[in-house]
Amino acid sequence: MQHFEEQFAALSGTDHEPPSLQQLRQTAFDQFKEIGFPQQSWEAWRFTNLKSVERGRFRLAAAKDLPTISDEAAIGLQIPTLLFVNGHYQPNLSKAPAGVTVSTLLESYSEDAALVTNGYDAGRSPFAVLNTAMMNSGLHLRFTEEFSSDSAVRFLYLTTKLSEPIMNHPRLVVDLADGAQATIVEEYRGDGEQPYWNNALTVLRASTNSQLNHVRIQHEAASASNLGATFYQAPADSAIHGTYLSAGSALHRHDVNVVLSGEGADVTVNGLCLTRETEHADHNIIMDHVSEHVTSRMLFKYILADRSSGVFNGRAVVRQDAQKIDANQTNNNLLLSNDALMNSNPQLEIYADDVRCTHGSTTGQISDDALFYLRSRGLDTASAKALLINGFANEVVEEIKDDTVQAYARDILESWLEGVNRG
Amino acid sequence: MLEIKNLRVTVEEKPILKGIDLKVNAGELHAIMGPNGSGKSTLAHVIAGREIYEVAEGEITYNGKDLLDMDPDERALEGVFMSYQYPAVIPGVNLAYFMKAAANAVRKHRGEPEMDAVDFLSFIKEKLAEVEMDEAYLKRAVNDGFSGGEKKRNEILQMLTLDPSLAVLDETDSGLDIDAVRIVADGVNKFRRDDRAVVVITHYQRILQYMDPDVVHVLMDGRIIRSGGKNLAHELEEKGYSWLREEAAA
Ligand SMILES: Nc1ncnc2c1ncn2[C@@H]1O[C@H](COP(=O)(O)OP(=O)(O)OP(=O)(O)O)[C@@H](O)[C@H]1O
Ligand SMILES: [Mg+2]
Repeated sequence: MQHFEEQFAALSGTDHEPPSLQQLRQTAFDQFKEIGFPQQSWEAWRFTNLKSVERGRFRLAAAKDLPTISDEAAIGLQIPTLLFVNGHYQPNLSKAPAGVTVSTLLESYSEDAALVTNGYDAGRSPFAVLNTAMMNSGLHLRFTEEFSSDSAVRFLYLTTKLSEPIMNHPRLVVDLADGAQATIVEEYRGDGEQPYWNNALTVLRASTNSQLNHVRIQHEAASASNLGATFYQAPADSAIHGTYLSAGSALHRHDVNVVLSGEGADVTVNGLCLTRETEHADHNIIMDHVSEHVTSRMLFKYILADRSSGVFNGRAVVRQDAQKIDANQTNNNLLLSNDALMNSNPQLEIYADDVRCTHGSTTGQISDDALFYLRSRGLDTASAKALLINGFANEVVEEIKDDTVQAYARDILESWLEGVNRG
Repeated sequence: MLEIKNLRVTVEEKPILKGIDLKVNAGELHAIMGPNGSGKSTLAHVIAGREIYEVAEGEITYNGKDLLDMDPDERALEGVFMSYQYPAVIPGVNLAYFMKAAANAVRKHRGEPEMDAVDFLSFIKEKLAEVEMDEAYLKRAVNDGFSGGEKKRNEILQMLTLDPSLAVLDETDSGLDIDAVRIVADGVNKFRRDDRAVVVITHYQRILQYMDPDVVHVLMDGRIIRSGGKNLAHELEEKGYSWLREEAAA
């Protein structure tokens, strides 16, 4: 904890921020100290060990950590992108399509503090609280009805060429105007041997009759820790469709909080989670059906190789009087090795009676019958396995509606599979 | 083309096949009949190379090569095809994608140029028409939600697409409606050639009426206890297997 106090002091010492923001940070940091790092005795953190971030002596990214980026190839996906490198926003290398307004967090905070701080409840989550205390980069995006439904914009958080372990606490806040249709790709990507830690917080606020497609891609370096908390606000007649692909980082934890607060809200969150070697990935999803007449779906698939491990905690909460709810929750896991481990815990918490809620979970290895079937048609073992794994993953990948982004996700899956096959 | 000598096979140390001898020449069609549990599917699986069946003794040669020495995929590439009694479901993989991968694996093995998506589509559409399958199946996951009869038709589609030399069809006629039996039989008849051989495993002489087998074998308790002409199938249908069992015991 002393290390974090030093980092916090350094942050406060250099800032030219409004006093109210400094106060906000201080309050959050005090709260973080009081809560402390998650213990494995805490239900929501039972299977995830955080020693690596607690003891990693990560320091906040500084100006000197910024390498020169001239290589467009490093940027991958060819869609309008808002680029961060090692925690630093690169406006000159960024562009946004028409219909979206981009502001820094400080700009939006100065306009109205609530723009940055509303729409989520960090509760007793130490990392969400720490993000408020230390948020050191990020953006606020506002989508209007002018945003074309076939375009997309990407928030790319790139970490590269580090000489010391650094941490960043990025925050992305997204607002949709009434009737807006937006596709946003939130991507965390990195390389290199040096450990680093991203502790992200994302708030997505839909409006009446708006439609949000949110794709979160995490393919950080194998040395990285990627923690993230995503908060969705789904008011009346809004539709939110979230798809997550995670294919990297030694430690990945994603907390997702969805509040369906108005009639007609419809939310889908899907995830494909790929782990190998000793990686660990943990999703903790809370789908909170506050209003009546809302629908939700959750489909999470894990593919675990080597000695990697995964955790899925999905909780569908149906509040009292929230009648006519249709909620579905599925978690299917494919183990590619006998040493891989999966903990799956789909839960329903229902306080209303006129609801239709289903949940299920399966964990298994590649079917011998299916593998033999393919081999008996002439496919070698590696191709047959790849086909079966792709088939398993497809159900989630197909959920990415934008073709370019979907193809990009397939490429990531493909190269992950090649990596696993090489061993 | 296929020669099996004194084949003994065990599953989890339990003997299933107890000394099978079978010779199938190019151009021939053999039928194998026999009661439930007698080892028919086991024989088919051993020919295809399923590892859970352990060959304790005996040999299988295919076109002069030691078949038991080959991996399942190698056998397929060399022209051995099995139609499954219970075809596996391949979730999330559409039929077109799977068939293109398989057809191109065979072509590559033969040193032929691989087909691109456009060529493959017109090729597979012809094959679909031969087994009267709708093109919509191409987009569906392999066998996922297929009815029993649709799965069997799909097996014949694969046989016609992969162009094997030896086809072992395990109860491809079971669960088919009357029209579908004829479609499958037509598919097999079209497939027959002087340089190809077919082994049909069946419980019914109905499909054999369309097919004109050269030899009918009866497999019982892991042994071929009788081989004969087409009439043997009729006789079995009338009398059941008990008379053979009694004769064998005598
Ligand atoms: N994988 C297996 N594990 C254990 N026993 C098996 C296995 N496969 C086959 N057997 C046993 O071997 C015997 C022969 O089975 P097989 O499937 O070859 O019979 P079959 O002649 O095809 O029967 P049917 O007409 O019912 O299809 C049966 O007693 C069966 O239970
Ligand atoms: Mg059988």
